[in-house]
Amino acid sequence: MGVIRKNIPGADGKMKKFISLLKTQINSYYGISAIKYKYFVEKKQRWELDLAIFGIVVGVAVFLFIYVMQLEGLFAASIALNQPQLMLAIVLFLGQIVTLIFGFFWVISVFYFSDDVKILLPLPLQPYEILLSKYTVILVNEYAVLALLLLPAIGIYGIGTGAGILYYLIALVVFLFSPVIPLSIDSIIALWLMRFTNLRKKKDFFTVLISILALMFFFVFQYFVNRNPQYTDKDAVVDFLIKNADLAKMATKSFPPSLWGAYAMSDYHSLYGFFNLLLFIAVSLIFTGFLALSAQKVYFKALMAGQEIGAKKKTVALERSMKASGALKALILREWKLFIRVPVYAMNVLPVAIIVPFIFFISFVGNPQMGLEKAVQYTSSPTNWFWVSIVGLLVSLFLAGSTSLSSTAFSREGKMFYISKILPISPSLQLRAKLILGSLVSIFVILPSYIIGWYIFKIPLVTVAITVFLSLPGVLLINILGLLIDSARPFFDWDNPQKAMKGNVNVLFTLVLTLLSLLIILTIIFLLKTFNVSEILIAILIEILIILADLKLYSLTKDFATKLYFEKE
Amino acid sequence: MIELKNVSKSYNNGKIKAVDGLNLVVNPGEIFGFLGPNGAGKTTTIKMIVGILKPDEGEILVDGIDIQKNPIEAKKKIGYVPDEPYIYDKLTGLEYLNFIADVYGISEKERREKLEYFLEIFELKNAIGDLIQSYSHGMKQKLLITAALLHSPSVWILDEPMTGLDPRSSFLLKELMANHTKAGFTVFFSTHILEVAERLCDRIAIINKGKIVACGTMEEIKKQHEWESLEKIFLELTEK
Repeated sequence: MGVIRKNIPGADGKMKKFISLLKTQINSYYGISAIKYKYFVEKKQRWELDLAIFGIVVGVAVFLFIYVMQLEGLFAASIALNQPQLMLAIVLFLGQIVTLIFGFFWVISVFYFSDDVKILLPLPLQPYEILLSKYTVILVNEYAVLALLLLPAIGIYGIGTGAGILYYLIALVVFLFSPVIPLSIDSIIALWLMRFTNLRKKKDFFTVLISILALMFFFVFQYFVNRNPQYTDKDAVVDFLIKNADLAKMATKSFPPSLWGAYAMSDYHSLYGFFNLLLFIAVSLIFTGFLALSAQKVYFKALMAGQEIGAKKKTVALERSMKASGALKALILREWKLFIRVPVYAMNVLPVAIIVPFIFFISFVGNPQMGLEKAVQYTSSPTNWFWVSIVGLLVSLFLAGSTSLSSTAFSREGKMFYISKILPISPSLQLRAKLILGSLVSIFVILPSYIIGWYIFKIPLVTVAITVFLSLPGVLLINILGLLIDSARPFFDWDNPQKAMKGNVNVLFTLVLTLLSLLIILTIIFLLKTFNVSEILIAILIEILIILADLKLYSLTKDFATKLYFEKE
Repeated sequence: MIELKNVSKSYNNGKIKAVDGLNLVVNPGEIFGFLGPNGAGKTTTIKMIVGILKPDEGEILVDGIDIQKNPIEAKKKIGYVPDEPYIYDKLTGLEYLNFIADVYGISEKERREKLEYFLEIFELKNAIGDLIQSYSHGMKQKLLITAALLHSPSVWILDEPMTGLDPRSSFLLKELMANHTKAGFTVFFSTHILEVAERLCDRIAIINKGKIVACGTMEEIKKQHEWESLEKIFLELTEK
């Protein structure tokens, strides 16, 4: 084989070049070398890696448990309808539609916004080589997502119908080709879109647009989930699907490749199935070919146009723009500007302010079964102040925990952290600036929920006041926890702000600690309740406890921060 | 004035010794050049002086103040220009300079005078209202130089400052360095451009594998090496 290849000039080299490019892309995308170096050469904090793996395993297990239950319902319904392939078609359709919708943004960000294009552009590589290597990286990623969605369905169908080995082989082929068509469509659209609109220059605008679309998707999804009764058991799913069988069939028909794939699997022993498989593969390859052609034609043009960054070059009147302020204010303003001007950060934090009240609103107002009237009857009564304000406290803590501002406060400085290190400013003042901004943003995020509580749930103002009284030190606590974690193990080595916030495990750790705090508070309350301690006294005790925790943890965080500013590299 | 006493720093749990028992005194009114091949320990030394890295051993004094025992006071004396111009992309040049002026407590009057001067000579006036992300490498470098000099530091430390500057700007920078020492301040910079060191520095040190292999005025060093060119001396000393 090797000898034959060597005899074809260029063929071996080209393939080698592409494989080397692909290997480098995958390596840098996942930071494989960086992980190896950190954990196996420097031998730093191996437990982090173990914990991350453990977290992923647990998360996947929980997801699979719930998902498999739903799938079994779906399969039972398909059998009841005498169309066993319906489950496969629906799942394939869902997988491909998810790839189609989310793949689009992913494709644009990997093709156009990743930092390595500056390095790749001058290399002697064909446009289609670079693009296909990037495309493959996304494909690999999609396989991870689709494995979770498709493999359980393939298994359930196979076991349920007692299918033979050929079924599993064909299913594997269908699985491997399943993201190709939607991702190619995304890529082709992206290529031509970027050719004619210079979105690269409006990268920030684009990030905001993605976030808004994701939010809309979320709201619509929530709306539908709440509009229909909850499907917690299998029978209900069966029932629902049978009632909506036509809808399901119509949906899968709207994207024929899903049907081809499904028939390829379900009719694996017949010529009809084989024909569908061929169709599925052939169309996938045609799309990939067209993608390569489009890439060759337009990829570099848009890429090069994107490297130009415009500047206004306007003279600024120095006298007017030079206002002196104190160091603390200057630090807070710096934090704020660097947060709000990076859309990935802002759009990751601020929408929480709308999402949570929206869920409250929809689940009560949109759904008469939830009994808004009953709830209001309870919440509006001043005598129920205790539990209402405790729930308010827990909601506030949870919201504060999900604003990942403090838990990424140090990490977000990234390579620029040296600036903070050389400033003649004490670590405690820098820490205070971060805590103040984090807490203010938390409060901003919590505020709409309070308004909903007051306006819709008619919570009396006195109860609201008690909730605020309890929540303020609580919000501080959660922000301190975030800062504590981020100062103990900051993540500076990122090349893309996305990684500083979304790819930062400190956010997850803080959320876990937040939930732990909620649990501790609840346990204490229940314990005190069993000893018949009065509600007023419990509230006061909780307040004191949180303040004490604030003080203790803040001083611990200060130690970590001092170490970070003065010692760590 | 900068004093390094027996300063050592290693990486990877002591496996790689980046700086090894360094002793050095840089006097007020002196331009001091810190020379060495790539990976010799120049940047590590500089990062320890400005307080970004903590030495494993030894003492560093800036104007007599120990950077480890009294970091805030020591940092007030220092102006630092790093080798790579990492600055906040999402701030405008002016916002960055105002931020620096605020944390160093520089009065409005003083910052206005300073900025008028530096923005004028560096031709940054038209760009100062733009986000730093639109700046070229050289513009970022000039912004960092301006930021480092806003508080008139008695010790000005620059890591490979000529990289990325156009001839005009590097000429200006050399002028600024000379002027800085005239006021009795200290300038300490690393470089591997030997001509710059030869022409500009009152004294130089050559560092190789974490150790100083030569230190003194140009004349002293050449005398020790039979009046060879600096290039030859450098190659000889760093070859081993």
